[in-house]
Parts: sequence; C-alpha cells; structure tokens
Amino acid sequence: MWHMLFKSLLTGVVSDPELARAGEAVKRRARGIFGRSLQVRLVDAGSCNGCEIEIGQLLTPAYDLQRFGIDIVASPRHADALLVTGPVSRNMAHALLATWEATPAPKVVIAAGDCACDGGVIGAGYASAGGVDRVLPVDVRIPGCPPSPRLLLEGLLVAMGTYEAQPHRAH
Amino acid sequence: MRAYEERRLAIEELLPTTERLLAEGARFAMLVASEERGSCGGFILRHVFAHEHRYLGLVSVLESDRSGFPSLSARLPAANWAEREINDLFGLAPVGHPDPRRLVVLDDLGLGRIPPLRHDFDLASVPAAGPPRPDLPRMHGPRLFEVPVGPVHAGIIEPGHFRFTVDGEQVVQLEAQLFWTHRGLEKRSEGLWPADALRIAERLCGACSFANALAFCQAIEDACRVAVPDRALFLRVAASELERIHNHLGDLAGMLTDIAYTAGAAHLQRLREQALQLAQAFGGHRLLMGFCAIGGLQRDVPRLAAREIASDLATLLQEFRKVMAIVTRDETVHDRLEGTGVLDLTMARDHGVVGPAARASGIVLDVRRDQPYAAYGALRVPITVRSHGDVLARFEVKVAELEASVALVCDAIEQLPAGPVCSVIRGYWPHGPGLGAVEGPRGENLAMVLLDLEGRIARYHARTASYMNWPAVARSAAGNIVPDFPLINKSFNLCYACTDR
Repeated sequence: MWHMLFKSLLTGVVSDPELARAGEAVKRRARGIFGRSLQVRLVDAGSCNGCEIEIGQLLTPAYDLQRFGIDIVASPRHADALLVTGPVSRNMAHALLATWEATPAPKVVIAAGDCACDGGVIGAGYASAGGVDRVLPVDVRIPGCPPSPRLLLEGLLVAMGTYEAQPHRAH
Repeated sequence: MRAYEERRLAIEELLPTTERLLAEGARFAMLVASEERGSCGGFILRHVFAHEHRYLGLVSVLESDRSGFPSLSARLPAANWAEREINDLFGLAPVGHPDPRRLVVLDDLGLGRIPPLRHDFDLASVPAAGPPRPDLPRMHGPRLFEVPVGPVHAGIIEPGHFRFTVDGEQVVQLEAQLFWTHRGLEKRSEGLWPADALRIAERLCGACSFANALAFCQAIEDACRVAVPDRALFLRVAASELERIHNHLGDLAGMLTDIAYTAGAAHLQRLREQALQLAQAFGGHRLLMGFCAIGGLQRDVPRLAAREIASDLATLLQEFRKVMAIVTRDETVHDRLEGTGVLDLTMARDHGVVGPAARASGIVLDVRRDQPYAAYGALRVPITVRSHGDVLARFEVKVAELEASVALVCDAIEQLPAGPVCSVIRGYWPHGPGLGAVEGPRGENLAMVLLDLEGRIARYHARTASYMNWPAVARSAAGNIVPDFPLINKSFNLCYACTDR
C-alpha cells in the first residue's frame, strides 16, 4: 500500500490548468443553482463507443470531472441530466424513453456527439432514428465525432445555463 | 498467393467439406450471406475458414425460392450467431439450428415483411419499434433466482442485457442479449463509393476504429488489386499498435477498477490519456478516425514528429512498468484475478475465440503472425500465451502485449521507408470479392466486401473479434460469484458496438 501511496504523491497533479479554469466556471454555476452539484446519467443509445471513451476520460485524473461538482450517477432516479450518445438505435428507443421518464423533473437532456445531435455519419435507417431529438426533447447539443473531453465539459457548462432557465427547479 | 481464396461447392457438400477442413486443422472464421442481382437471382453463402496461412471461402448458391440453408451450428458452435443473424436480416432459416431464437431483432414486431438486407427491402414498411422482449432461455428450480441487468448500466458502458440465474451468490447460468446498438450499418454502406463506406467502417466501433478501417481498406485493396506503398505499410503498423496500446491500458485500468483498486486504475487511466494524445499527434485524431485510406493513409507523419512520438512512448512504457511493479506486488490483486472466470481451451476452441482471450486460454493465434498484413511480415511480433484461461491470464497477456506494441511502434518508425503514403486510385474495378483481416485490440477483425460493376459497395460484412468472443464470456461466468462478473467482463472488455453494427 505504501508503494502505491508514495507513487501517487510523487506523480502529483496531471490535469491541465486551463481546463481547471473552465471547470471552475461550471462549479460556481452548479453551486449557484443546486447548492451542490450536477448529477449526470449516461445513456448509450447506439453509439460506436467513441463518445463513451471520451466521457470516460472525464472521470480520470487527466480531467477529474468530480472536482467540479459534476458526477456520473448510477441511476436516472438520481440524475439532473441525461447525457445521451448515439443516433438512437431501434433496439434502444424504448430503453432511452423509459430512462427519461424515470428521471425526476426538472431535468436536462444533453445530446453528445454527432450521432446524437443529428445522426452524424450514421444517419437514419431501418435501425437508426437519426438523432436523439427524434425520441426526446433535447436541451443541449455537443458536436464532435467524438467530442473531446474538453468540449464535453464546456457542453456541461451550457447545460447548466439551460437548467437555470427552467421553471420549477428544486433546491 | 492471395490472402483469400474461394472454392465453389454445392450446398449438399457443405457439411462433409467442413468436416474435412476441420480435420485438417482449419478454424471457422465467418459466414457471409449476400443476395445476387441479375439473371441468376438467389443468394450466395460464403463459409470462410482460416486454413494454412490464408483464408478459404466455401461458396454455395441458394436459389431464390429457397427459404433455408443447412445449419452447421450443432457441429460448429462458432457459427451459431452468424446463422441466426442471417435468419433475421435475410429471412433464410438455418435448418437444424439447435437454438434458432431471434438475435438482432429485439421486439415482437420485426423489421417488416421483407428482411432488411434483401434488395427489395422497403424502409417504409418497417413498424415503429415495440418494447424489447429479448428471447432468453429461462432456468427454473428451487433456490434459483433470476437477476436481469441492463441494457442501461450503472457506469459509462455500452448497452447489453444480462440475465443471471443465481443460487445465492453463485452464477448458475448467464445469458447475454446483445444487438441493442444495432444500427444497420452494413445496409447503410450499400450503394456507397468505397471512400464513403470507409467512414462507416471507422464507426462500427470507436475503440477498434482503426482496426476496422484497416480491415475494410485491405478488403477493397484485395478486391481491386490495389498496391499500398511501403511507407504506408509501416505507418499502418504504428497506428494499429497505438490503438492497441490505448485499448489495453483502458482494459487493465478497468480490471483494477472492478476489484476496487482505484489508485492503480487511476495511474493506468492517466497513461491512457497520454496514449490517446500520442494517437492524435500521430494520426490527427485521438481514436485515429480519418487516418486510414484505401491505398494507404490520408496523410503522412513527418519523420521528426514520428521520432518524438516513439520517444514519448518509451517514456510511457517506463512509467507503465513502475506502476505495474507496484500493482502486481499486491496480494489482493492476485486473490481476485487468479482462478476467476476460467475459459478452458476446449470451450475457447469450440466457440472460435480469438485475440488475447484465446491466447490466455492456450490457443496460439494472432493474425499479425498467421496471415501477416501491412508491414508485420518484416517485423518481430512476439506472441504471449498462457494456459489457465482465468482473468489473471488475460491480464498478463495484455501486459505483455503492451510491451510488445511499444516495441513495434518504435521499430516501425525506426525502419520507416521514404516514399508516398497512398496509391493513386483512379477507379474501383473489382476482380471479385475482397477480404481484409487484421489483429485488432480484441483479436481478429475481418471485413468482406463485394463491389458492383461501377465499383460501389454491393455488400460489406464485418465480423469483429468481439462478435466471435461474446458467447464465451457468458460461458466463463458460470460457476463464479455475481460480484466477480464485472471483473470477468472487463477481462475480455469486448465491444458491443462492433458486435451489433
């Protein structure tokens, strides 16, 4: 255990200082609205998993999303926002809708990646709806194929602003 | 000698010929169905085997009024899914299939009267999706409980549905239902020019993007006899290995996360970030999309940049070794990994398992060595094999492969020949079907293409390593405790997207 502890202390902070500044803005917004944080549930609605790789990177020490008060939660019941990837494959349409219905209001839907925004390269077909807005109301679109972790963080900032605009928000 | 050869036979000769090939040590690789246009009509089945350092396709014709074909699944479990997929997408029934449940369609409403991969498929006739009802076999008995998980999972992971039958903590049986991310990409690619279909091939899967892109390009190059310049062959090796490196770092981090060793995982995750940034510096994209091209690569890598990347990789490897020295010294790590999720040799062979999972179960199999492509024939490719087939074996194989991959990138950059990075393509004139085979991060990824007379895609089928290995994951979970399942799953870390397409 001591070897790992010393190794980690010696490695130090590895995340980008510029990103820290962008994240601080998110954190202040989050505190202002929620007093605490933004809880996000991911739904992969047919992505190629490229977006998942980049979203996953946000939780690693390189980006450390949690220090900004944003976290990925295990259940839509705990979520303020749904982060949706993929063009909505036929087989995921119902699961996506059920997850959205299970998320308590007020809630925000963020479409991450080109497929989620407008179908991207995949488009619409017999097994693809062509974008999240074919199934759910979308509040924020983060383009990219896939969007970089930095762009994803900026998208979450925009989502905060959208959330703020909603009536009936809970504290 | 071409990498892919075909042999025509009558459909009745299929089973005896298969038996003969298996006796000669051939391995079943994929089954591709296609509908023929023109006067003959009907369907063609291609049963592809890896045999004697090349791929052999047994080609049989089904007349247009046939509604089925003889199933090989009872004899070849590895063909199970491919035959069910053909049923769902072509409406051709595998006669004698031991388990003919639907695979790709998850609701009761289906995909319309004419199956999607047929030419006269009518998109307008497809009903809106009904609620998913995965068709899974159930077990009954005293003390048995059923635990359904997914498709939406608690972490950042792709969708799949797992039905555990448990007796207390022990998993008695696991059934996996995939195809939640089926997007109809093979249909989507039909009618496109190859360069446009390449963008689809890159997006079958994000993790295996370059591997699938390369397999597709090699298939087109095979079909049209396109030569690839030497410089591109070496750069393709470097790109393939960079992809393997970031994937293996993620897989190892995932395994440590699932045994709650988050400190160790955190170090591997920061190294993965470095690997993604190196991929961006090398090929212009963190996941190497938009880098591979038919006939070579889309852009060159200047010598200075390549040397810097090789140097940064060497530093990354030093860091990796330091972290692994600490991690592997931990008793808890061994306790959790050893003996967990065993995939024995017989099961691995029967299911046609490929990649690090196959090598961890004692099967000596690697496309880079068995059917060398790109510049692998000119480079040293060490193969690491273990016999236990447990999570620890898969862990150790990936650690060793990471070392080998860094050496391969450095060697490829060291030996990089001068010259162009892409052949000039003036048109696509196919000599016949084309097959591309690569060793992706999870194993053998295959692509078969058929081009029409203009050179557009008539049929594109991708059979990825994940597609082949998924049934084995479910088998290797039986007899383990439920909390070990995430670890077992991560030790394979198969993609859902490149299975589902």
